[in-house]
Amino acid sequence: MYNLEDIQNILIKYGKPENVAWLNGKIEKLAEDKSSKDLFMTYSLLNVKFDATRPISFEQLDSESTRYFSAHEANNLQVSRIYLLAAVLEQDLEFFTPKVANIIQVADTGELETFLKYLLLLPNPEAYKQTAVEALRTNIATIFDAIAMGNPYPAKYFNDQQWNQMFLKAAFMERDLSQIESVDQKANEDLTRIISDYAHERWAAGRKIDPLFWRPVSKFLNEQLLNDMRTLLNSDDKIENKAGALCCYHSGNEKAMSLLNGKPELKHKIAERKITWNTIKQQ
Amino acid sequence: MMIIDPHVHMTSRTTDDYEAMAAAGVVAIIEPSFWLGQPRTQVGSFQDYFSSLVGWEPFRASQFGIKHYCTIGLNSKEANNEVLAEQVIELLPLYLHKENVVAIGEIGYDDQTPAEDRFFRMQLDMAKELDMTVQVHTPHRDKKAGTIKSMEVCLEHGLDPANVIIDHNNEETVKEVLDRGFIAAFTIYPKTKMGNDRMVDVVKKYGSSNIIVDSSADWGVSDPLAVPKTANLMLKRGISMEDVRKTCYQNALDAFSKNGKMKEAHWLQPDSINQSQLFNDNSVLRGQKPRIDEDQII
Repeated sequence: MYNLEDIQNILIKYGKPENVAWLNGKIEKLAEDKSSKDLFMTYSLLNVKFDATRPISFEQLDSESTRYFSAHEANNLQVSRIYLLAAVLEQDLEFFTPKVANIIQVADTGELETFLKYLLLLPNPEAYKQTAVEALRTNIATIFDAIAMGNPYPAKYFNDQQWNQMFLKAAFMERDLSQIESVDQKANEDLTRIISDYAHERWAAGRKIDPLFWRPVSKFLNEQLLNDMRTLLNSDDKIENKAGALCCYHSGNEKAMSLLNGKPELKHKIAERKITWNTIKQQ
Repeated sequence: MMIIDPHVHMTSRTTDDYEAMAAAGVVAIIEPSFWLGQPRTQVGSFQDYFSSLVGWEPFRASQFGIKHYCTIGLNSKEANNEVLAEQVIELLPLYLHKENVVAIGEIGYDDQTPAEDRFFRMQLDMAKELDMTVQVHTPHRDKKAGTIKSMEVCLEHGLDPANVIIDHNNEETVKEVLDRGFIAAFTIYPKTKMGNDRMVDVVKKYGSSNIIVDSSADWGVSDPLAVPKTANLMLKRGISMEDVRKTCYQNALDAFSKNGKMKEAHWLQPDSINQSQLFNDNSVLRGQKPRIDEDQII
């Protein structure tokens, strides 16, 4: 997704011309001097030079970067931070990677949020996996959401254990699970067990669980999970009925299909794509 | 009535304090960086402390509907470990532009040693270069001389006195501070030093211009409700609402909002207590609502 020119074009179009010129001057100088102090100062001054009060209203969504920034309601300050980091990393990846890591280490909440959301717009984003995984441990919702919600980074770089940790914590924190990307692709057997255990724990406490939590279990329906599917299909909650039906429908499992045959109306609607994981919460 | 406490060390306080402060009308606070009761031995301890002042603590405050700002600096006591102090000074520029940093502080003198003087001056130069507000801690011993010296050094380094808050004043120092055009902050201590009653008398005598009330509540015996309590006492003792508003709200806002980070809109149009930013199960609220008004059992 990384494309420095696209990012620069966004700043040129939506930033104040004198401040974009100032930033480009600093970046040129950094290429010659390779001074970490100048990088830190330039980075620090961005929040004086670029507006963070409102998201950019993009006129055209003509590049991948534009579409990604727009979908995440980026403001000028965020774009300028990513631009500066990407630009110096492109100049000298080896020299600037530890300096960028240093900037992240001392980040305030807003900076960390920016960095995590737009990791994929930097060259060599895998270098920051440790920071991304660390963000899963936070209790600050904006930080957790920055890495977990609407972000392709976890699916691309997290291993199963890390991805499972994220999915479970998102459910635990009652975040919007529909915002997690590539759930079907990242589903794995270990996660299936975790999902069932957690659901039982919640049921035992008389609490509900987001029906979207079940989505990854489809391809891994063992006896215990088939029982869970039975529970979902017979629940008083219509959304749980749909979740159970969707899991069974996409399972390719005969026993699951015969369970679903007991709910012909649901099966029919799924076949007609009137019920999907994306529309499950709609009436 | 809305209250700002422009000097309170919330890192050392409990969630009970946040609840009580919010209930008493505190809408915004400023947490100066200071020492933690015993000296730090590693620069990393400073780094993590500063990071918590721009990260976790503002989040914690937001859960109680209080807007948290901070000041960043090397305090006077720890300036005396010169090797460590030099490393801390190098760290400061990384924090001075963070989103909730409103000034360099609290800096100044403790025992008025040469090392304290050296690092105080270095930080004043930094403030001058970055055009930042300064929050000055005045010494508890040899107070009057130390306060006057602090101001003279600020002027020597070219700072505008209107952009320097001299803290921990008392009846003996206030006139010198106001006469020189600096802003005078008063810390209300529960037992010793400046108490609520004395503060009322100061406002009666000197008026409300350039005077700020704060609590400096920390890990010692102190009162995070010192500002709202003093505000109420002032009203009871016949000081006008306008003067109370200035000394317990507006003057602090004017003094610390010069770099544009502190804005009244943060609490007048709050998204700071936006529930979507809060975790239900694992926040500091642990599923509770941040109010204790009813059903109190003790």
